[in-house]
Amino acid sequence: MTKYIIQRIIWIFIILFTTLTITFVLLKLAPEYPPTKNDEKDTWLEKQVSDGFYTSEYYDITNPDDMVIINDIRNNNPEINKTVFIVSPVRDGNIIKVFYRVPISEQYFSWLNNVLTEWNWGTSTKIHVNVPAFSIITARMPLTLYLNLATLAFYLPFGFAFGIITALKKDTFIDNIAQIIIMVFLSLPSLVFILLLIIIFSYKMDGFLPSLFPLVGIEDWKNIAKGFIIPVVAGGLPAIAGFTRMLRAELSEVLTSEFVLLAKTKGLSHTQAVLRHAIRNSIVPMVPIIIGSFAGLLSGSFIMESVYAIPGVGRVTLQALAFGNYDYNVIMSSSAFYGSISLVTVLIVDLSYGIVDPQIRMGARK
Amino acid sequence: MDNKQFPKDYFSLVQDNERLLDKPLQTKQLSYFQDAMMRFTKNKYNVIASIILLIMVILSITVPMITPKNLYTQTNSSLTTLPPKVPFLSNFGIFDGTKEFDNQPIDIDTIDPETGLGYPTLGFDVKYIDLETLTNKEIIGSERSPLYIGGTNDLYINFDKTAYAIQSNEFITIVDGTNLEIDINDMDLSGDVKIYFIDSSIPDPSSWDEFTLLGTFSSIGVHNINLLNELNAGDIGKIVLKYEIPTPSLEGSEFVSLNSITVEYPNPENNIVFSGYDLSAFSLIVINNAIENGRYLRKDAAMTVASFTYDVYAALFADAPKIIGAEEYNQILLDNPKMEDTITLNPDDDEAWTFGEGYPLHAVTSVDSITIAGTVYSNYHVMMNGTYAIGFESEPYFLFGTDVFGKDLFTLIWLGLRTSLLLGVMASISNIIIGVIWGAFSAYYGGQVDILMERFTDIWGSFPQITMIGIITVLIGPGFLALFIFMVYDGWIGVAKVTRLQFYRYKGREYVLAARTLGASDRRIIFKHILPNTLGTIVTRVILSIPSVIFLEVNLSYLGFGIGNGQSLTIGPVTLTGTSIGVILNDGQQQIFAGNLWLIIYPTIIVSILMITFNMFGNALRDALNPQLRGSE
Repeated sequence: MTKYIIQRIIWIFIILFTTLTITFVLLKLAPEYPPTKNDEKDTWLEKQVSDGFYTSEYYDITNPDDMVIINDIRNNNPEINKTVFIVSPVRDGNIIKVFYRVPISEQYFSWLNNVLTEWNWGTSTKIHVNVPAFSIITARMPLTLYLNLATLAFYLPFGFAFGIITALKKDTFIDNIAQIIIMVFLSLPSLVFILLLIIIFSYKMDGFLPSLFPLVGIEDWKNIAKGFIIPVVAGGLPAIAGFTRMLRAELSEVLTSEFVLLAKTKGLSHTQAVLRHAIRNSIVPMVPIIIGSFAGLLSGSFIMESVYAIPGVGRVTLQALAFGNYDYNVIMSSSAFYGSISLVTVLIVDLSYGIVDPQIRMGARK
Repeated sequence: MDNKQFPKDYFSLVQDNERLLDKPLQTKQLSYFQDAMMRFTKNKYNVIASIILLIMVILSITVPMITPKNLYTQTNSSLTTLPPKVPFLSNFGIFDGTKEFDNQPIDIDTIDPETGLGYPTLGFDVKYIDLETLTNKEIIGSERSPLYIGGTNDLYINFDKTAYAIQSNEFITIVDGTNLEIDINDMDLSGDVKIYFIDSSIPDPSSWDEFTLLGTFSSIGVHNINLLNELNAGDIGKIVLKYEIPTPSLEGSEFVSLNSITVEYPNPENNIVFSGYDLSAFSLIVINNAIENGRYLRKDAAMTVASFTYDVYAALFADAPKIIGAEEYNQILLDNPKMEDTITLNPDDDEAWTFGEGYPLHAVTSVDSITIAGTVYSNYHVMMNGTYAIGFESEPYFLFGTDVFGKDLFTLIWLGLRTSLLLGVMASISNIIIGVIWGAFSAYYGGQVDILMERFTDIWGSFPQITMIGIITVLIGPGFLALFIFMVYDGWIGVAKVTRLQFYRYKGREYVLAARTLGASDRRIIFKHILPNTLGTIVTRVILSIPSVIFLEVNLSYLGFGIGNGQSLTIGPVTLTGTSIGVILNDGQQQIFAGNLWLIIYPTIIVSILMITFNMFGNALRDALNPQLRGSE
């Protein structure tokens, strides 16, 4: 078991490393989008030089020979404003700087070195200029995680309740209605849900549940809860439907097994047999599904964050991807965030199968 | 037990001189697909869903073809955000082209003394307001706008300052018997209100000494000043009000709240009253920056707003007064040959006449003629048919209304659906081709090849979606190609996994071994012997994946990473427009708080029906094509 876990963790690192490498290389194939203001651009590019992604050359603005060179670069270098940048003098100085991007392979090793030794993911160029990119992600992480945990906490009780009810009432009128509702909820995009909820609760009811994000400065827990309702419900409804369907299938299979019959023959009522024996067994395969759904909710959350203006990781990532205003370091950091969360979830799901179901032995030889 | 004895010739052979052969089956033989079809049609719900799906597909092809192109390609400013209107149903009061308006500031002059209700006149015509639905309510606000009435105007002193002043914008003329009345609603009693007069001869005062002090008050209530105490009849100037406190403000909360300032003349009809908006329009005046600063705020002002149902279509297509040139006028007469015969002249005015019903022009109200160098140039003032003025032959019905660009939403939705569907189908076909080849290859050869290919899909599949979106957006930019790559880059992995699994199931079977013994090539075994068995599973998987691909398209286009308005892609005879359901939803979302809800509701309903029917169709197909259920029931 331990060996299996170690193997899996190593594999996770390999996957994460590979995806981030591919992302890094592909993003570096595109032109750079440094900050637009001159002094911010200067600070950012100097940081890039110290991080090992750029080299710089200094020229004197008062020297006519230097200006000839500058003009030549400005007019004739095909990479100007893509990978070569000229920064005008800042703070009344007379030094004009030219920055050249180093080859991708060199940049890659500098990046690897920075990340591994200093946990330096570079600084942001557009979202918060010259703020460390990873700290932008970590600052927004709690909100995104709270939101997803709240959704999880919202959908589980309903999912369990409806799953058990539909399994017990299988092939009755209630079950048929429930099946149709499940079908509808699974078919609707969550985008549609959140738009409809906004229309009903925010527009039709005169701002009964307004969008309260960002929640900065709101200390009253009632108001915070109010702001969470629409995104949590919109994210939770499809999850309830999916969970109900799976629990129903699982439970109705367990209900036909012989030990439930045995329990009934011993004199337990139907309800007792279900609650004491059947449910326990049907929950076992649900545990990994519950854990796995967390990753699913997370990846769906950037739509939610974008529609409802929630300043979470998803929204900031989308901002970093605004057309023509790309913020590569933030994209890299959020890729690392989403990548590691989903991979760790997969690992936990795999391990939980082994823990909850003794029939599966992890890493057993065939 | 008594045994009967039978002689040998008692028995005779059934078939003595014919060979015993299998008889042909009497029942009708069913092919695989006939059987599947039978099971497919058994579930009535699924059949209905499939029919609805088919209708939607047909509509998405035909509707954009039969709708005039200018209704959904051109921006038409006069048709923006028209509500839905459906023929026949409009007779019953639903979908009749009326729209509910909320919170429209009313015109105070329109208030009906009986009911006390008013309605707006700016942009609305009372003829088309349904007066039965008219309700008014008051909104309390602090806006400096003439639409808000009443309220107080509060003058605050900022932190560390000791005074602040306002002055009237108009000049006041002083005559005999002019009084000034100041109504102070509330004030911080630590300070004084000082009223000054600044003569019009001093446009730029530099010290308070140049102002004439009229009076000082430090209590709440109505105060009167006889202006002639300090001023002479005939003086012209502005009234200045200053609020002063003895020591610099500690919290910036010292204030005076004013109800009104009135200049009273001997004849009360000439009184000038400054209150509400007029008072809030007073300008700020600062003489000494160091000690004077503050805020001038309007408070508790009320605006009456109306909510009502408005017949947008009737208002839009009502006869409109227009001025047209002689050339256009004659062209209209030429286009409608019998129109000239219906002219009825107005007996009182020889430059006005009316036409019969059903022509572009209803009447000519007057004619302007100028003669320049012997040529007569005429302009006709006409009442033009509203429908004709906007460019329609008869009054149009927009079944789902129009969007902010004045385009017909009904056509746009089907157009968008066509794009979404085609992209979905194309992406699914690509997924199936890549997936089947990959999966078949991986499973058939097995061993090291299999392990390597599996590890590759592991890594490829764990690329976070958002990262991939990032890379593609940065490298290619949003558009059809980018959208297509998003749909395909990891979509094939699922198909590959299923194919691989199915191949492992079938490749060890005896018939495969037999084929191999007979010398069949690898390709023949894969495509002729194994693949057909796995086809059902793969096909259903692909059908079921189309909704999720459309799902993805809607989400991505909504977020702006897919296609957008104005893009187009030509594949052979079909041209896909950049309009998709996601794009429509994105445009519509900005209209929620403007009350144009149909822009969200209709695309939502259509996309939901599409998803539901597609899923039901896919499930039915899965059940029908599942070989294990074959022949059951």
